[in-house]
Amino acid sequence: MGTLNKFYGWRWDEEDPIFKNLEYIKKVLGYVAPDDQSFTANNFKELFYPGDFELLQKSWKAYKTGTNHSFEKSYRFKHKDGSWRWIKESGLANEFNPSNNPIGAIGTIQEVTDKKKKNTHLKSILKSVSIIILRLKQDSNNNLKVEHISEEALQHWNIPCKTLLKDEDYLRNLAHKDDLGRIRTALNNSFSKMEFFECQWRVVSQEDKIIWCQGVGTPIKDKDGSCFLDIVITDITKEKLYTEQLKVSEEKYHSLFQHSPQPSWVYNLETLAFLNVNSAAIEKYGYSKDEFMGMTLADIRPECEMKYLEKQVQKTRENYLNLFDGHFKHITKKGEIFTVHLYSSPITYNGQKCRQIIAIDISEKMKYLKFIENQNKSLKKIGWMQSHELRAPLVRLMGLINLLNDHDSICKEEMNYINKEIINSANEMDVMTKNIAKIINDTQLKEKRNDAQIIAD
Amino acid sequence: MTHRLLQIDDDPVILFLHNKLFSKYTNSKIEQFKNGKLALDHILANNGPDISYMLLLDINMPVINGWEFMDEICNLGLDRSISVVILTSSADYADLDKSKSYDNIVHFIQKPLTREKIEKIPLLLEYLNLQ
Repeated sequence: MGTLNKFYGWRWDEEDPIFKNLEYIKKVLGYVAPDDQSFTANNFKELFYPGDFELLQKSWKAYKTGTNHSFEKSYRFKHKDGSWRWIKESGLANEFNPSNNPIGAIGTIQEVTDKKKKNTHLKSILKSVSIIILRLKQDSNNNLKVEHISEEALQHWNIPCKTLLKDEDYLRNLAHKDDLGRIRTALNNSFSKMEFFECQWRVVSQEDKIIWCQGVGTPIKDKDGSCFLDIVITDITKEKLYTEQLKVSEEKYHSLFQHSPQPSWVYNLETLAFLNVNSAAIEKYGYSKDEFMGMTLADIRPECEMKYLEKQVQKTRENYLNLFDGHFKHITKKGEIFTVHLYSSPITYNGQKCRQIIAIDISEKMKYLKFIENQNKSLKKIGWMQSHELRAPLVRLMGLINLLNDHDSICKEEMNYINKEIINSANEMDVMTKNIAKIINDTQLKEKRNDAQIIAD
Repeated sequence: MTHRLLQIDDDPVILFLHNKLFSKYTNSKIEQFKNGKLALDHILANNGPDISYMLLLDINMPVINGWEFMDEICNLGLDRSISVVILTSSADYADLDKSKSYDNIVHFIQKPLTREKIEKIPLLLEYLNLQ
């Protein structure tokens, strides 16, 4: 590579044009001139990259007819091995005609393929990361003007940029009208106080799309007293979009959490401290949000439940992702104990491993369940009484009545017995039916009391 | 071979009714017991290889009920020589289901017993004849 980066000298005058350095031709381009047939005058043009020969000729002509002393031009030239090499020629005129046009020059020729490759790579990186470099210059009258703006990135963003450099009101093209005031203020601040510039604003692209930009830069004072500010502008549209989506999702979660009719909270699994509670929890347990924030789970559990709480927390710590639900006893600020059906799920809250709880008061449900269970017991009892106890006098009655049909076999004594037992059985049935009616009445009374209690609650 | 028919019921009115009914089929008095314990004692005292029993057994009785009595005769290995007709005032289907779990229960009849019901059980008629 050392040889490739080497500078080779050349000299030019009207009688002795380019490519006279045989060492360069051999070492850099691989040809053994002038013996190499491909390097003859006829084929020479063909060794240039398409279009580059014409450009070189043109700039060479311009140089010779111009008054510039220095000359610099890069072009691609075919190596003997067939690959393209970037060549840079630079020189300085040392002879002039009366019109001050150069007629002789000396200079260097150098292969710059690696450098060119690096530049192209850098350009492509800059293109893909969507960076605009904007240089603003403030003159002595405090007027700002665009001195430089990187064109590739602007093309990438589809912002009209050709007129930008000449445009006095360049910001109009660079920012959404609603954001212009903000940018101007930030720029004025930065220039007047020589402070770091940072601003986010919107740009409307040619396709009427909104692009979010972020610009940062530090103002620098030049020797002549003028200031300039190199602003690095990045496209943060995607970032903004994600932030916006995240914000919407967080708001949605917050609203669901806050407006849930069921008491809900988030607690720290290590300290058991409440980290957030919703309004339903505040209402149900009687503590204010501030009070909750200074409490732990143990404060809403009655004394008798502490062991159970410790056991459950230990279990959850061992398996953080575990989802569980169960019945627990909770206590309000006033000391009222009630049963809750609790649902617990993992949640990452402010970067910490936490749990979210939904606690549904099932005390009334339990009352109803108890009541229905009692009612079922009564019904079962009535069923048993009917099928066993009530049927005993009934079958006796049926048997006695059947016997009455057989007059011949019944003596007087037996008739008296039959009559007496018919009355006994009927009385027994009377007592039984009254007992059954009592059970039904008692159940209905309990039901009324239960209803009254629920209404009172 | 001797065939013995026994009634086990705590209700005297039922026993009276059954006596009146059975008198249409046999002149002999059918032996009656107020509970399962008394019947079991009688069977154990009078058991022999040439005696087979048919019992008309009530379920709800004091001392030992019908089911306890059934379990007892099974435990004593008497179930092969004793056929049982359950005669109950119960309308509980659970009792009917339970009766099916005993091989020697040949019939399940709801009280009151009538001539029609008796005549539907040939084995009972046979026992009444042999008293």
